[in-house]
Amino acid sequence: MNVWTLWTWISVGILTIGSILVFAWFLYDIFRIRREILEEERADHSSYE
Amino acid sequence: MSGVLGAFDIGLVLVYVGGLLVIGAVVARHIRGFDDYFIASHRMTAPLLICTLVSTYYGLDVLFGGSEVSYQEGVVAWFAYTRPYYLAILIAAFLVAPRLRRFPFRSLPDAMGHFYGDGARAVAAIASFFYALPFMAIMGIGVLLDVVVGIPFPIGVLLGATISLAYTLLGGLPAAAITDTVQFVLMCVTLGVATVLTLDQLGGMEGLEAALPESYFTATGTYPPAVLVVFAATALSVLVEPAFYQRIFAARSTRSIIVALSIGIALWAAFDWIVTVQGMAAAAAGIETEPRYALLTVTLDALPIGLRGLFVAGVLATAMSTIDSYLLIAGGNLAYDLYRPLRSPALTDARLLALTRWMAGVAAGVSILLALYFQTIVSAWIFISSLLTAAVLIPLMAALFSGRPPKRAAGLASSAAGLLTAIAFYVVVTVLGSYDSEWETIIWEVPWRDRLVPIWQEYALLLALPISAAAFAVGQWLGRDDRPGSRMDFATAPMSRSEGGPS
Repeated sequence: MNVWTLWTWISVGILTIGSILVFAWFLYDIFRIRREILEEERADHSSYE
Repeated sequence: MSGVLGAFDIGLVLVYVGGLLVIGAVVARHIRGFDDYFIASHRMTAPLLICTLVSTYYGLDVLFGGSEVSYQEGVVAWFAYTRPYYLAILIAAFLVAPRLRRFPFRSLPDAMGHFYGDGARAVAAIASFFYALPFMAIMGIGVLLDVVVGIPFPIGVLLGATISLAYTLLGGLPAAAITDTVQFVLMCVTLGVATVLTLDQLGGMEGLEAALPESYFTATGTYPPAVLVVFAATALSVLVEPAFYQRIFAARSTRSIIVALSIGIALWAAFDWIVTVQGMAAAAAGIETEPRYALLTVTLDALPIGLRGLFVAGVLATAMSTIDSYLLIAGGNLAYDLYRPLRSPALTDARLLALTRWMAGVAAGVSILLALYFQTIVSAWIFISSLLTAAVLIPLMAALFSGRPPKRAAGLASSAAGLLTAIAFYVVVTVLGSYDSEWETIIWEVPWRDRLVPIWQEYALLLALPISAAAFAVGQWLGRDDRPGSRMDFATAPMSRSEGGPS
């Protein structure tokens, strides 16, 4: 396997597996952010009352 | 290639587009003010930043432009053109971002206005507005829909711009960033899979080496050295990139932006290399097409029905993730950076939010007109990118990295001189030069001693940046000393809330 082939396979791996891992990380994170936003909105709402 | 998509492929594309609009509508319910809309109230964490940075900064110009160069020249597309960007991104992550985060800025012109006053803010806002207009990406969608489903170019342009605008108007940066994550995965995975299938048909990289001239595997290609220097210099635009700045300000912490940019570099490098390989694969396969469409042609040839729909959705994603973010920035430039400080400093938050949405619509309208007008001028983007870098790079970096506050005259002189020099250079080369079909740009051949020296249109920055630096030095030397707190460490002093934020 020459260096061009090796780098191409590494790039394909980074693009496919790497992007899916980052997306999984995002999904884990987004639920936390959503919870924060809902808590803030609830706090705002109760302060109006 | 018309009619290459089956009903299943078209269904996939429609599901993708419908999903974007649903995300926009859901996110819109949580937008309560300008900060929510424009900088996501500083809530963006590392994974969200990675997705939105990678997908926003890489549009069809990279996809089609990178493969265009590699189709004609080979691996030089990756070695000479893209690698300097990674260095610039590292500088942005580790040096520029931490300094910028000391201030409550919301945009690039905000920073210029804080350091140098309203004149420099206006110059930066105008340069940023034109830079941000995403007409190349809108044009790319028009071409794509024309090529793969036979929709006439003007209607494709209108469709692409309208859909991107719809969810951007609804949900602002949060909607753009969340849709960017879907677009990020689509564009990365489909391109990776397409490359595996393409190389499988052509005998792998060894097959490309056997089919292509040796020069295709030379890191410097056949470009003149001066052009390689210009390629490297264009990477400086990263340091004044409005989308980078918006995300730096939107980040939850400095650490999250450093993590995001560091991981982003690996993804960008992989993406660039795969685009380079696909362009070379098109050349090796003997595909005769306009160089810009080499990647599209070779990939659609390689993919089976079903995956083609996903790939087209991936290419649409590449364009739309760029369009949504830059429409938002261009709208913000008009509403937040120009109108509010110069005409209506007491503008309420609700009115600023409404005005930014309207101005994003105006930016979409201008972009559609430019996309329909400049159907073939790729160099228009290089021109606009040069204007922004020439106007902002020197004064902003000087302000961020100097211990003492620079004089306002220095910033304004540097900004105006850089901008005017870049414009004048382009006008002179366009008028006195001629179009070179081999390099696909305008070149002015200047007699020097007994030979002709070729001056490319793309050399503008090589002249504009030194002149901008010289004007800064003159302004600093001759300008009035109007610096606030000139004895303090200026770069560590946060600005007041009233200076940077909406009322």
